Amino acid sequence: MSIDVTVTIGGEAGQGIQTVGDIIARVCHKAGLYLLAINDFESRIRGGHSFMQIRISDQPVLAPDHKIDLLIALNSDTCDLHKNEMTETGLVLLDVENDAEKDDSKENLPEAAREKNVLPIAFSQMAKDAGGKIMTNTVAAGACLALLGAPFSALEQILKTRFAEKEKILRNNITAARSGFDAVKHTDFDKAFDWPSGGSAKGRLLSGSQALAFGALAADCRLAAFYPMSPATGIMIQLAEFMDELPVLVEQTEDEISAVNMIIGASYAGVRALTATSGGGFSLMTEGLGLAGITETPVVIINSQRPGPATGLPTRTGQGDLLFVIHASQDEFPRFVFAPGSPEQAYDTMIRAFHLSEKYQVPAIILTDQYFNDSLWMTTREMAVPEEIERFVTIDEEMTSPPEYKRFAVTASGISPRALPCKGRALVCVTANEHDEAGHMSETISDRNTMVEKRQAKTKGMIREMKGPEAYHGKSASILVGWGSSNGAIREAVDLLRSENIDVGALVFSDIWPFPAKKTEEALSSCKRFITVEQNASSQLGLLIRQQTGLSFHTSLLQYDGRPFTPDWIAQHTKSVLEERP
Amino acid sequence: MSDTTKYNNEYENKWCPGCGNFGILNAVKKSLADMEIAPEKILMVSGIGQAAKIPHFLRCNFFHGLHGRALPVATGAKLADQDLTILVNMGDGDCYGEGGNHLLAALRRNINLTLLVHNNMVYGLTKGQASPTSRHGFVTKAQPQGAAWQASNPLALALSQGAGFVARGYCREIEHLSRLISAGISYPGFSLIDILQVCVSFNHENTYKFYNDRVYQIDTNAYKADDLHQALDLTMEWEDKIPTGIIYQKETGAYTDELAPLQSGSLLKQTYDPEKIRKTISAA
Repeated sequence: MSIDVTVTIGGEAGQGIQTVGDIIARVCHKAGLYLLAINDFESRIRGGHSFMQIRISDQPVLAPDHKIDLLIALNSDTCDLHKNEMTETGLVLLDVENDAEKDDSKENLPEAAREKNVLPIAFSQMAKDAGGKIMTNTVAAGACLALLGAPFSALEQILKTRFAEKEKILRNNITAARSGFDAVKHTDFDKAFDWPSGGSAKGRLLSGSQALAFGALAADCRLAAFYPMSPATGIMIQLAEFMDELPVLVEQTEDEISAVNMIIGASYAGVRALTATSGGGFSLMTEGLGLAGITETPVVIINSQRPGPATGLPTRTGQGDLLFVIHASQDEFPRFVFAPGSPEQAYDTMIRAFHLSEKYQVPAIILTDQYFNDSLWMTTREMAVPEEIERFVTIDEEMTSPPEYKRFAVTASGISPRALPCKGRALVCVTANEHDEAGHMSETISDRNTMVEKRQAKTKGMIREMKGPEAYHGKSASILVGWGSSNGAIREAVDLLRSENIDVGALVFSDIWPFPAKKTEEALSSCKRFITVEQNASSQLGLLIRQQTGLSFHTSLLQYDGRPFTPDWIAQHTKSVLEERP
Repeated sequence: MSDTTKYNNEYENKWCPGCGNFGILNAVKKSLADMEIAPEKILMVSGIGQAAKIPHFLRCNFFHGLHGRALPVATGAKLADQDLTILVNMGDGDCYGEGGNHLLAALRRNINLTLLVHNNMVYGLTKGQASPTSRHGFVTKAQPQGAAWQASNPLALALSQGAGFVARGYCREIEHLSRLISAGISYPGFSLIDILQVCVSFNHENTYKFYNDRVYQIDTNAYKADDLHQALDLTMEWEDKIPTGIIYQKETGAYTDELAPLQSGSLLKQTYDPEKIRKTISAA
């Protein structure tokens, strides 16, 4: 990579960090650069400390960096909090109140502004002069882009799109941007780069939540019921935007128990249905998950993980729910569990999850996390929409005798023909109790055994649908093994290690359950050791691999502080592990 | 007499002999026959409890779900296909206890479902604990000194939440109850019919005699059921006289009529349009 710059914008919640970040991201995107922006915030609407970190490059970016080249500090606290992350030549732009009564010497500035790499700039004052303090963000974006070497016209163009049809606001914002831009034009910044002239966007920017919502649309999801919970709410907000144009209904429920039961009712009645929540809400949904299991009703549930237990760290990220969702709800029934690791995979996984859930008449769970949902990703791939949706539903005309229809008829595959209620003469009878083939309650030994075996029989077909872990330099001596959103950071860590001639590769799982044991064994067959890399405290995937294949991990690199992995952290820890325990 | 035999099925009934649920079952069949709703055109949704077993005992489509959760399941089915006729059957513990939050939400949604609460003021399936509607002081094995809590008044609760159709029936007055059920099915919004149901095994206070001595049918010529305050007064009557009939009914629209995506027909019937989805995604 000839360009690899990390810009962090930090301040209090409510100061407009997102706005600055969004402008910078869009200017870079439009110019043909790649980027990844992560959002770090506390569970509060005002105050505290939040930041957005944007990594910009001329090559695809898969994970956040651990160092900051350019810090835009909307308050002094931001300087202190990020001091240790600055690169040696890094620069801090600190917003300072420009007090006309005092002379401009550094003694009058806050302590943080006296450090040698801190450039005090009166962002707020410039904004006021341009027409209002609200434009502080625009001034900051102007200064940041000037330091990166962007042409002012690139910024102007984005502002024009952003404030189209609001002429006065646009004029003021251009003035504000210009004053920020000019304020630093004589400052040298060694990470400035030659901007691609006449570049064009390399793909589209989208959040993880958007990728999931788009996937749901393309999968023909018709009902999305939810109870608000971070970090899953964004998926539903995104879907709600389409209610005017497409046959998709987003329904806010009284609680998560209602949400899961509502989608089961909707699916039973014949439409594809989705809910999204986080671990706490998923906990409330577990009895409903079992209801989908015993009634063999297809549903898709997204669990966007955050660290727990209970409320845990509500706005932060983690991978602590893997074993929970595999086992959630009492007794046993087949289910799918997927953990996509990129926006493309998330989009495809939604389509697959709906398809497979209906094909096998089982619930499908999708594990994402706060880091994935809330980050702004760039995808270069077109999002294909299936031409047709196969529904796996039967109608009277396909039955020998509709009045004899049995919803839970025994078949070799375990999958019974699924009719919809009130659509013909076939009665669709379903119960949460153990039942006979017709769907009536039964406690006989033979019905119980038959139904348990019928449900379990589906696993055979389901396993065949599961992909093995995706390999990256998969024939290396040491293999890093991870899952879900750590995908990018693990791959970049492999690149870092290989650039130092360390023989390391990676396997990253996106299909978790039913566990693709054979494919995993094959993928792990040639390495000397594998090291699990996970955001939980016990290496849940490692335990699962051991349980399912008998293969044991050499050691684990575990992080559970609620922050996303960086490639550097993984690479450094891999090196220490290989040195300590070769 | 309308012919109710087409609703009969061969599945063995599992209620105690003399159970008040039999009267409710007969009233449901009679209402469906009167309204000429064929067995295959009705969807019954229920929770868990003796009451919730009712769909097994007649020919219909049914979803017999979890304790307390029948209303969300029924709501989901109705949102998926607003053309469905859905009867929800729950017991008092099921609906007013475990599912209380869902009842509040269903009342506010005013979605077109007909809810029959088989209210026997005791937990039958779990053998005789006090329920949300058991009177203060009701003695059971679990409450040997008598229930220390107040009985809930579900009809007054429903009215206070803006319910549009509130009625009370009695399991022994099958003809009257079936008319209430038919009125509920015909009502375009959410209808709550609380049914005084006798439990011959675990409630020896609220017996057939108890109700026969107290229950009276509201005189529909004298009482118009359109005044909320009069209706609230009626829901307070209990000790000596217990009113049955439509207690309150107001003009209403259907919840599904308010939702933008349902305006071109039910979600189920609308067609999948990949081109439109493609355009929507690329414009988003």
